[in-house]
Amino acid sequence: MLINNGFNEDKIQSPLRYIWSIFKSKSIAVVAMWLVILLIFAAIFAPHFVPHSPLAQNSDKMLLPPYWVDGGDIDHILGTDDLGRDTLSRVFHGLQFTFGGAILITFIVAIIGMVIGASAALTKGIKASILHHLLDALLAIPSLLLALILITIFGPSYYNCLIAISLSLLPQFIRASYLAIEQELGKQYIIALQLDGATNLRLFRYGILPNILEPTITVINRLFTMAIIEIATLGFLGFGAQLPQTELGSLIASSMELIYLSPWLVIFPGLAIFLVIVIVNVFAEGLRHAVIEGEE
Amino acid sequence: MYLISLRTTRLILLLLSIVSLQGCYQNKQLTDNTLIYCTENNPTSFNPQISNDLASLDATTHQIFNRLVKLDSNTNRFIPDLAESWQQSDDKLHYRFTLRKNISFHHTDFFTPTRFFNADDVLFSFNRMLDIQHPYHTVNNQMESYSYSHPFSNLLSKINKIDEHTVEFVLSKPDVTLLANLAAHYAVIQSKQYADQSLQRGQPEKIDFQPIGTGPFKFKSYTSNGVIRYQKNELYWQDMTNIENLIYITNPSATKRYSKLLSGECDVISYPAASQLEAMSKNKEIILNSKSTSNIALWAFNTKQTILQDDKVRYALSQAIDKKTILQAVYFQSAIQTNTLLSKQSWALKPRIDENIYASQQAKEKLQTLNYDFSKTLSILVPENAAVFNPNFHKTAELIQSNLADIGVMAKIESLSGTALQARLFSGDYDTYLTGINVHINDPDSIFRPLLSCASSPENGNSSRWCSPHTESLLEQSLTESNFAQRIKSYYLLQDEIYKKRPYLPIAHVLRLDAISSSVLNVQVNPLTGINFQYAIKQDLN
Amino acid sequence: MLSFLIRRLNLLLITAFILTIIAFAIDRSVTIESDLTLSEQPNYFFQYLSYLFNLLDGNFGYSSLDNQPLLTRGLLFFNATLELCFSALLISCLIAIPLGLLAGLFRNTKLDYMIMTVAIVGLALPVFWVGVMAVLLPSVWGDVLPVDGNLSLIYDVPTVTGFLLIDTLLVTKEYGLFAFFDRIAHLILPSLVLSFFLVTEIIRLTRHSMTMVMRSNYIKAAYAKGFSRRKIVFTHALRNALPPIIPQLRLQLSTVISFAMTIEIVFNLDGIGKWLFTSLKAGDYLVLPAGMLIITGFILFFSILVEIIMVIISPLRRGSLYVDK
Repeated sequence: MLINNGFNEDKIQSPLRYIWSIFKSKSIAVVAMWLVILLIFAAIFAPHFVPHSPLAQNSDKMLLPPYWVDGGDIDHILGTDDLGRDTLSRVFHGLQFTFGGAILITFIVAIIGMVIGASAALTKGIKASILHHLLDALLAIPSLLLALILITIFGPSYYNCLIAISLSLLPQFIRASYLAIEQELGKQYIIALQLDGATNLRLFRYGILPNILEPTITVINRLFTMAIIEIATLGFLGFGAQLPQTELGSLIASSMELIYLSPWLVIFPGLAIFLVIVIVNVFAEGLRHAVIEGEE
Repeated sequence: MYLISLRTTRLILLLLSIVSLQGCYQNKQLTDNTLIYCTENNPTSFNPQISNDLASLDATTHQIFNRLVKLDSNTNRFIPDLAESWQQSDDKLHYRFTLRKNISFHHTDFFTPTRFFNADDVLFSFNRMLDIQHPYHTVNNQMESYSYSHPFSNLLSKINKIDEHTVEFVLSKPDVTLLANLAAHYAVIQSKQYADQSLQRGQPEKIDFQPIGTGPFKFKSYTSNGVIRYQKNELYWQDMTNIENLIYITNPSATKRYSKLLSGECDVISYPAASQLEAMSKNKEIILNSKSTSNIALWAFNTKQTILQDDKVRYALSQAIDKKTILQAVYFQSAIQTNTLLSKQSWALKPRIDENIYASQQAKEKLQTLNYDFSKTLSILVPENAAVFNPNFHKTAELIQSNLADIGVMAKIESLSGTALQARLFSGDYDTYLTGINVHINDPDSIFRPLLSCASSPENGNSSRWCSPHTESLLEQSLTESNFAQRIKSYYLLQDEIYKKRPYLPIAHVLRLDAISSSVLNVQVNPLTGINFQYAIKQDLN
Repeated sequence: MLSFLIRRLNLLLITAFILTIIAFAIDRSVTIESDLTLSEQPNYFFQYLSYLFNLLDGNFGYSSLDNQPLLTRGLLFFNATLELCFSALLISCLIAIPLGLLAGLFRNTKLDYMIMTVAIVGLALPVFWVGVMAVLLPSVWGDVLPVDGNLSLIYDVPTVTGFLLIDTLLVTKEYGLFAFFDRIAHLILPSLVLSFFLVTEIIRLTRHSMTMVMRSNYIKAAYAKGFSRRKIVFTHALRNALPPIIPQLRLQLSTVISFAMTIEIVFNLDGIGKWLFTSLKAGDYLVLPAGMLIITGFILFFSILVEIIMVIISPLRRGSLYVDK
């Protein structure tokens, strides 16, 4: 979001810096930020640094507990599953599918949703009205149901599941960005800009966008949280990632029968999902607070 | 602040009081005479004549119905059930059964019998299976390709009604398996009167879904969420059951079944997951009932594929598989490793010094000397859903895949289900298939014939597409031979042949497992015909 | 008021119309061409018309598994889902409203941070995972709370309304209140898990609303008058802070139903989620359009209901309806 446009340097860059300086002062948020960066790296480079292949079986080391429990093995820090596959490696690969997929969805939905939301807010008349009603209808369909419908039509696979979740989250995002922009549009400085003869694009870029930063962060955070939960849920229900793929939800589903023998296999993937959501939420909360304080 | 905390405390107290209701939410009297059995699958119908899946058998055979004869589990001899006695004629072709009198069929909301059980009912039950012209022959018969899979059409030529309480079975050729077949699940006796009534009302299909029988429990209701309710049959002609209400509930998750057994919501659960057995055997409140069965898990080689035509290749591939790991990882304690198709209990099993042939290195060398084409990828076809003989096909296949990788053979796993799987088997476009066989009567023929006979299609069992004149003649010989020693001898020959040719790799003989709460006594499990709650007693432990 | 109603009804009809088109599209894409009744029509337009008439007739089609009419089955199952949602709403209101109010009153204090941490944890716990972990409870605690199913099987309760809490009260003759208590026991754990998400949402909304109210001028005026803080909070702030939450909460309804469906599958509760899931797994795809229409129909109906109630509660909103749209 950094802008290297000479004319606007004073106007835009300094508030961003100001927000950054506030953000830096919140230690928890900064820690969360580093963790988020770490997670992104982990998701991208997981195959290169995990100690074992997630599919490598080892019949001598089946169902090992984590190493700090009796009978654990330092070679498999989080233990192994019923085929002797390393849980740590599988969870990291799962992050790649679950967290990476959620980031991808968030990114795509945010861009498309922002474009549609903004163009809907900036245009009036029949187009906006049609969009409005279509959104109303789509919003009434629970996202899990929408994802189920799309997957039933296109067949269960990881990529179809990503597409289905994107489509099911898109209406919510469009609605949210539409509302935020709509609210901003009524304000007087925007009218002043409009009277100045600003084009819609310029109006959006320099007038609206910097001012809807705070609600946008909230909405994107929510989008990400829902995306990760839905990827995992669909994986868990067997509608998402298919068997050799180690998506976190499907990892939980495949270890469910082993829960009494080795609960670790269910605990760790769930914990991973939990931690990812907490970290991202703390980071987003910190960012949001910094923006609010910056604005005040 | 003070006020708020007071209010929250009040709310928390309210919540706690709701939770404390827990203690008394169970109705003592009702729990004591109700037995709940948590099963894995829904029955496909309530007639074991047309459905031979275990869920249907468990739900019907011993609970709702009786047969003419039954097998005494202690002495292994056939004893009378609905038949009082029987005689065999000198030519070994005629069996005459005298039937019991004054036995009433179930009185339920949907049917009230006006007469007692008689020869007409026996004739109806068998003719429905035998007579193609019979009005009931086609009813519910399109359900599965494997329905009416009983040997009676080959076995019997005719059934005669001598008088109200005597019937005569006429065999087409001497066959020793008649009594065993009459004791099997598909020989249950249905009510002709009920069938006629249903036919008159234009609902003949009801006979298999709202069953009427003579057994210890009568059918009450079956809801689509998998709950079957039975009531005690007050007019039962043998010892009355102690259980007033018998309830089956389907819950496909073994974990859930176990947790419900622990919480007391289930009294008996079927097929505890292999992974739970260790914990169960330690728990004093759970009795683990394990019965060895002849059900066997197999890896079938498609012998019609060029690459697998050579029996030495098949032998080498068999050598590459580490069954011990499969047993550990997939079955835990729920199966016995095996190298033969027949189980240890079978009288036809040829005793042999059967060493474990697992030798990965040797297998690799052997394949190299045979000029095996290592560049080809073997397909391993697996059913998507777990079956009685394999709790997790995919995991088994993954283990086999890694075993094959050790000897340099590439393999890909293809997981299919339902009609797609059937079509694939039918097309013959597969290299190997991970399968197994459910055995319904205690006779070696019921294992060998579906697996090895030319007449048996891949969907019906012969997934190795094995067909050899020698095997065929041995199969025939052993069936017509009434000299027991001769029969055993031809089975020995057959086993030698199969051991040499290796169309299948036998992996394990599975155990039938049921976990029973220690408050329930006398649950009998017959590995062939299903569970029996007739004698069950629920006692109060507190 | 009347013109407001007509306007809302108009919107409702258009949205419903779009939804039936979506349902029709799903129906077309999941059914195989053997569906004779519809395929007789020459093109999609006429097919849609006859589909629509069937829907208006209450004919949503029949399940290919048990030949039951989809509408009645779906409605019964959906009632069970609603029961779960409402009991979760009740629990989460009991927990979250006090917490949210506290967080709003003591903004940016340690208490506030603690409450907000609870809120984030509630959001971050994947519901299906919590459900799976709950099956471990009996092995740890023994026979405490049922972790699976709607009702103990020993009670044979005929389905009348689909709301089991009501159905169990109808059989008091046979079982006394035992069945009812049993039902409550079965509801506790799933509703608790479902309420995690709602608690987060309600805490956030209440906190925000309370903050806004405490900043408003009439509260300042009350302070200036010298009222005690306690009196201000209970007589003025609360009354104005809670109603704005309701329309916000309405927007979460579809998310809550989404989570409820997951919970039904995990806890093996009868409800629309489990019904759709098992039917889909068994290859009966016609439940999708039927289920979708039932759920969305309810959500639309409920939204309008909430709006009408809001208009009745606060006359201020009534005026705003006519201004810009």
